[in-house]
Amino acid sequence: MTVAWLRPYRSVVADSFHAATASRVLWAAMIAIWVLLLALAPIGVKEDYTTSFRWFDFYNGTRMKALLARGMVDPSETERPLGMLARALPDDLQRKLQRVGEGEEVRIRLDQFADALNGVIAADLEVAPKDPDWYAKDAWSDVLRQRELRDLDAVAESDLGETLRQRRARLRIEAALPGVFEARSKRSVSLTYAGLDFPTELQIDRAQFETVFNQFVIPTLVHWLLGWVLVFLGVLVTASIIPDMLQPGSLHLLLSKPVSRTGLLLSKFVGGCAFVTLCVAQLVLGLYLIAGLRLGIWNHRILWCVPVALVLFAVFFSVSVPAGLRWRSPIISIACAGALAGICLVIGVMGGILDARVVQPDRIRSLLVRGESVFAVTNGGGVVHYEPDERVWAEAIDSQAMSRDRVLTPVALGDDRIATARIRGGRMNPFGLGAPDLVVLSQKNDWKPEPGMTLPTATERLMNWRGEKLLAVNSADLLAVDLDRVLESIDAGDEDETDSDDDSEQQDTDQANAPKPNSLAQWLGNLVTMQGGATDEFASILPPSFVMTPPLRLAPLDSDLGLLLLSRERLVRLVPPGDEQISVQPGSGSGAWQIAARTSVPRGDLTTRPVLVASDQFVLVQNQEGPLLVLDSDSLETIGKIPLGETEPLSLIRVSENAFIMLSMQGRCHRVRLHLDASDSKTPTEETTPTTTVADRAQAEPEPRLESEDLPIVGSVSESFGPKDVQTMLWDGDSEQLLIAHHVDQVDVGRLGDASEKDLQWSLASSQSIRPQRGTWRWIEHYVFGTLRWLTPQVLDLGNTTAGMVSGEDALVLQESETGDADVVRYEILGPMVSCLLFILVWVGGSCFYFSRTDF
Amino acid sequence: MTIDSAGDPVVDVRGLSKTYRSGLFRRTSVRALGGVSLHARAGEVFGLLGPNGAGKTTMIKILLGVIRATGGEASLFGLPLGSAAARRRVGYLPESLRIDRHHTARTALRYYGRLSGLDSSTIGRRGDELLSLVGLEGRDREPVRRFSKGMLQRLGLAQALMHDPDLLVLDEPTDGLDPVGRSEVRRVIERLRDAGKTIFLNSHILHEVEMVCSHLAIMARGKILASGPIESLRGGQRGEAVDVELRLTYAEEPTQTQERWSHCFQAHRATLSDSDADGENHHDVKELSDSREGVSLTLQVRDQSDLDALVDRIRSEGLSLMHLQRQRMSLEDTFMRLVGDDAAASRTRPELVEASVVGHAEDDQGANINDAVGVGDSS
Repeated sequence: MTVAWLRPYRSVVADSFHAATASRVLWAAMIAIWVLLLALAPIGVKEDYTTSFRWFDFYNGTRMKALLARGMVDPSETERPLGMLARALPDDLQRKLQRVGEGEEVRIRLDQFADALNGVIAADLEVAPKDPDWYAKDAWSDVLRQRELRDLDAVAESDLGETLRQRRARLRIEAALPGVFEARSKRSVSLTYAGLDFPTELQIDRAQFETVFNQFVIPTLVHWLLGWVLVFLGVLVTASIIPDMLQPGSLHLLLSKPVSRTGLLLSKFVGGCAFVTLCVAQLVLGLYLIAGLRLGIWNHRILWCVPVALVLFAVFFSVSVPAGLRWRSPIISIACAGALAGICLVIGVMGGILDARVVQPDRIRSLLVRGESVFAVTNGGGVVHYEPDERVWAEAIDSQAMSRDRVLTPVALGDDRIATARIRGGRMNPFGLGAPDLVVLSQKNDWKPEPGMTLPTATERLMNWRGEKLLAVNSADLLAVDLDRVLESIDAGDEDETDSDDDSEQQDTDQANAPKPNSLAQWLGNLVTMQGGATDEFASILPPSFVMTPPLRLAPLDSDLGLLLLSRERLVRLVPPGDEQISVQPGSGSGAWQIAARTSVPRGDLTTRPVLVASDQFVLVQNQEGPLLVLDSDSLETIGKIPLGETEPLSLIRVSENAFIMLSMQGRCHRVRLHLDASDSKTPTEETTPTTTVADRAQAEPEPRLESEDLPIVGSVSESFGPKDVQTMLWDGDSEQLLIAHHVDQVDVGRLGDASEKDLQWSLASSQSIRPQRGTWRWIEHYVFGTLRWLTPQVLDLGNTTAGMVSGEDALVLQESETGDADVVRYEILGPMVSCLLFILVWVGGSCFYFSRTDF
Repeated sequence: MTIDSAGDPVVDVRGLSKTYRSGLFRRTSVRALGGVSLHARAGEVFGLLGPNGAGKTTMIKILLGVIRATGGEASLFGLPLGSAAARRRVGYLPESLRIDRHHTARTALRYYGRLSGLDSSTIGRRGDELLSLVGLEGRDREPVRRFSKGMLQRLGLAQALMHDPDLLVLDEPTDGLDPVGRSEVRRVIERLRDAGKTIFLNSHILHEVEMVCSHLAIMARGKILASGPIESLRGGQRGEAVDVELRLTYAEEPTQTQERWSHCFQAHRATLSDSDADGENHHDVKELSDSREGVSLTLQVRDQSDLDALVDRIRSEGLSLMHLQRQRMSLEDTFMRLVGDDAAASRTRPELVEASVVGHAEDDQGANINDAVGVGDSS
């Protein structure tokens, strides 16, 4: 329907489009865009089996080196996969491994391993259809083979093509070297150009490729590279619009028409966006079609790039317009837009530097409460404890800016000690995992760090199991030591320190007399330690038949039910071997726990993060997109499903037997509550004894109303509560309080209402909440740069908006350890848009006021 | 479209003043208009004549609502200046028309037609009519960047007429055009005048104004110096002395013509001296030449009765009146006289028209000048 009074303004806008299409700069820009799109059009994607190794496929390089070295030196491995595989490697690598096996420190590059293993795979093809020398069916019969490998082994040799044969070879190598490799998808995508293969595979599956494409490639291409180029080209082209309009022969004619000045200027402003609209729309539409037709990614959200780029342009145009009105000069208009870009850049870069150097190191990653003290692990690889009197976080282990170290979440060792470990370079470098030392902080020592016993290689997580054992988890093994032994070693260390002067001479003598590791048994012992197996102190408690495969999740159970271990898609409940065996003998291997129950939890694609939490009655697990599965803790039977809607869980903690707190990827807390019957809201705890299984309860109860595919347990997820931008949370069972860390280093301490109540009641204990004072630089960052950020348009952050809108995700896990410690980036989607739109509103509004009040 | 009756002014301006302010804290001010009053009625071609810097364009800008007046009152069709209703009834051709280079004549008319709120069908119909009127039919698909200035001005006229306005405001429509272009534009204006359009023409080209305007206001230094029907401004208004050119001869003895004329003139002068109320002498001989055939002379007479008495005296003296011609002032004479007088006045009272600090009683002073030259509005 035509609105007559809008006709003149639509005409001005249309005329601007008309003018834009007549611009030679526009045609030059469009030709450049078409050339780019034509250049991109031949790009295609091909999906094939993942067959070769790349250096980043190795999660634990140290373990791989140790395993292959063992294969070289351990006679018992000669006819087993390790030995056969090691002997198939190139001679120079074999020599290095031999030296490793003999106890020498030899550095081997990961890509050398990758090339060697790829050579092994290639050798398989050369001898086809026979088995290669490095493989024997009998030798591989007792290694854990994935279902895919078992299926391939069952296929007749003649029925396997080259690719499948290579895939089988890779799977055999993975099976021979458990705990070494990153989880990789069965199929990988590779890029093609005009039908020609790119030299290397991407080693990511299709889902990952789509994630990378949507979250990085498109936003980078559209926003950062081409968006800014087109925006500044647009600023150059449109800078003359207002000065031209103000020419007497033009302006007076326009103003003599029955149009309002405000409407006229707004129409010119909208019309001025025509240039960028035409360019960006073509670019984005072209990319959308190429992504759909050539890559098979039909993501309509890519089209959101057009309005975001328009907002970006409008920010600069909104400054160019008043400059043109005031000075009537295109040059000054361009200069003003450029000055704004410079200001935004300086504030953005300075703010970014301050954020990286000052704020991020203080950001809390995990919490621990011990008595009255609150401890936190920071992003800067530090451990801090709160001093309420001074309102500061006191550093026990220093936080460092841009730290690549990782500090494990501390565990309590009694009432006055906590323990953690610092892994040097542990975020990225597989070799950096090493064998860290336990770091003990005790109250009597004013929480200063002291070295403790050496942990197993590549330890990623520590856990205090029921106050009896200290568990250490790495990518390949689950190891334990009696807590008493840990405490004894710490106490002994203290005494040693006291008597160090007296004993130093004796120690030197002992070391000199100590036998050198030159015997085979000692070599093998060292190799086992190197590969992450048992050490002098820690014994493996993993059942011999169980091979851990990342990603891993661990959840302790309070009662005798043991602990839960999720390994890729296998979920097992491990229990100690029995009272008579509960005292673990280090290095003996006799302390392996038993699998009391097992189940399979369907695994989604590799982009899905597993989440696991358990009480003594219920297990909540998510291994693929969809609802949270509720399992019975005892039998691991699926007994319920909790739909989460759009909420994606980052972590879950247990509050009570049937109540949990879920931290979403978006940084909000939700309570998850389970019950048998929604009609009377009776909790399982109220109606059942802890030892009965749900199956028993279901039989004992009179016709419970079944929901969710007739499963007996239903659950509800509350609305979000508490602060925003939550980083981590902790339930302190002793005080029955919930601690929520948010906004860098603040912690809210509060109580939850009765779990049986329908609506969650979260009461903040203001007196206990932690609001530390900001240091000078933090103060500057918060108040000075925070204010400047809101006074200037957050154009640099529009990249996040683009990434968020295109991907449809508002949070992204950048890095994640195999046991679930994740670096999460939350996109501010609305914030930058609101900032930019407000800026545009203010400047355009001011321009309209000036235009309507000034004589021209 | 409503056409105002002849009695209602289309343009009604009373004591309009405009002062431009500039500089730091807007302390510097320049007065562009100082108490201007004028009226133009329906069907008139009203010319606003004045030298550069007289305030003509400022006047037009105020009428169109482009700028606001500092003081005074004005209306178009009885509607407030700058109101959409008033602008809807006005077509305007600016002094230096600027049409974006990407337009053709047709698209430019469509654009400006839409700005005037016309629908597509009206634009199409009016476009054809007007292109024909201004002689651009067949050239309507050409980019305007190829147009000559005359063609552009004619296109400007067409756009001003797109919405069939009741009042056409033309600001220096022939400025900068060559004689051919000037003639083309003038011809269009004459056709519009003949069609009964009310036209407000702003120009500093006397000849052009004289040719097309029915009413005129002469403006200089922000003030209206004279205003009225163009005939009245050419001189010879009632009560104003005029020059008369005579050629006399004495039929009996031509050589005595000079003597007989002197006697006749003295007698006539004596007669008139008794009745001269203003004490001014209107009978000075401005030119006198004697020849064998007679005497040729130019003298000023006060009015028609004065002239009649002089002719009677000549005849009674026996002189033959061979030639008598009443000399009228041209528009240029009037213009130069008014502007010259105003310039002289401003030299003695520079504060009236020069840049001045705000606070002067400009309206009163402007009115005084009008009184001094003895002209009021055209009514």
